[in-house]
Amino acid sequence: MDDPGVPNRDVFRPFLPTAPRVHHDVGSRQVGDAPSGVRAYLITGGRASAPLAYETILVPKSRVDGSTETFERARIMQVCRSGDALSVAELAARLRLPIGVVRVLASDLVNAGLLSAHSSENTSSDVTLLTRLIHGVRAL
Amino acid sequence: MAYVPFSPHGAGPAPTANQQPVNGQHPGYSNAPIVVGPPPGRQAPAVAYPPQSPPQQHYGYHSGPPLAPAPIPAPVPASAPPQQPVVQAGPPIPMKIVVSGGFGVGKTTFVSSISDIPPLTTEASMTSVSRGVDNRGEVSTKTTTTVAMDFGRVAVDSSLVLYIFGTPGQDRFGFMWDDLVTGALGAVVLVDSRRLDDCFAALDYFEDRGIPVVVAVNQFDGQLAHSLDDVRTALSIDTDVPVVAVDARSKDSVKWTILALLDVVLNRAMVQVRRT
Repeated sequence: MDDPGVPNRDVFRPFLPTAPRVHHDVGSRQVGDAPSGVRAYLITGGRASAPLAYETILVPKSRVDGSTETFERARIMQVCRSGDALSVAELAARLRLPIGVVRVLASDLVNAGLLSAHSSENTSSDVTLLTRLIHGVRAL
Repeated sequence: MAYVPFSPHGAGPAPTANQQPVNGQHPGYSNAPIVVGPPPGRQAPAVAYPPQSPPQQHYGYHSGPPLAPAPIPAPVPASAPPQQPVVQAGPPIPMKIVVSGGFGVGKTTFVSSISDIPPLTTEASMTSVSRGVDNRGEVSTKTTTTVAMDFGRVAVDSSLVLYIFGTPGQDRFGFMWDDLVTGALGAVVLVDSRRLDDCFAALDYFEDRGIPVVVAVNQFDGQLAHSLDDVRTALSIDTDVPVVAVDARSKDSVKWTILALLDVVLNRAMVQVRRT
């Protein structure tokens, strides 16, 4: 996940007004500009919870362009469309939005049929999956 | 090692280990075809478990023909495992573990040691505002702290990705913990043995919710200030919870800590499967 436009720094500071400007050139628009100053509760319409987990992976559905979406929703669609399979948490970091906001908006987009959410239920009791995970981690 | 549960239809004519098949037939069963599956009158399970891989080990007896001794499964290669071509054409399966512990104990370092990407963090310098609120004691030279949460991502294989979330170090962000912990496989509780009381809150939290935990004593300056047994005693940790030493700066050390945790998770899952 090399973003050539991102300065090589270990730390992102998404929520701070003094944050360095981080540019992800996605399509024709610059994503990741300084926070807009719009309050988080306005972006989400006052909603604070959503059924998505932080590690849920979001993938845009094919044959949906999402270009009719506006503001933060459009930015989420753009970043999702950029190629990597990103989780809610990674989206929040890239967009430099609070994770609670991204979670609510992404959940809207899933409900609207623009994104599909991929998570795994009951991973902690799936022996086959856990065995694979252990082998994989051991080989790191 | 894959665990294969007891066959739900083990009452059928089951060959034992001594009855080797002769020309594909069992001695004593002349020309009757080998019945693999439930005896008549019982519903066949819709999907064999585990669905993808053939049984590799059997406990007691089973209703199928005797199995050839299965080789120990090799580590999953980086490319797609051949026996599971159906699993993932699309996005990887996300899994999650949580790294927790007191303030300034090295959670962010832990995450960054193993993550594929620079950990996405929301760190800010400690300022005069946090002085007196975030008490880092006299032992730390730390000048930044995680004010929200940070996380790393490890691509385990082509279709599995492990997310490692660090919980916010300060009590005032406790409201985020429930969201972080939901769906997590388990938790690593990082401990600074010079400031043991910092990790009580985390240990209590995970114990309350029955989440698998491994206690990892961070070796500041590369050495343990106290022995692991002393830490276990001081924290009164159950014997089934591993206590390990970790150097949060070392990838290998972090890796083995995570493996210790996954071992606990796997054991628990196997016990669960056996019960059901």
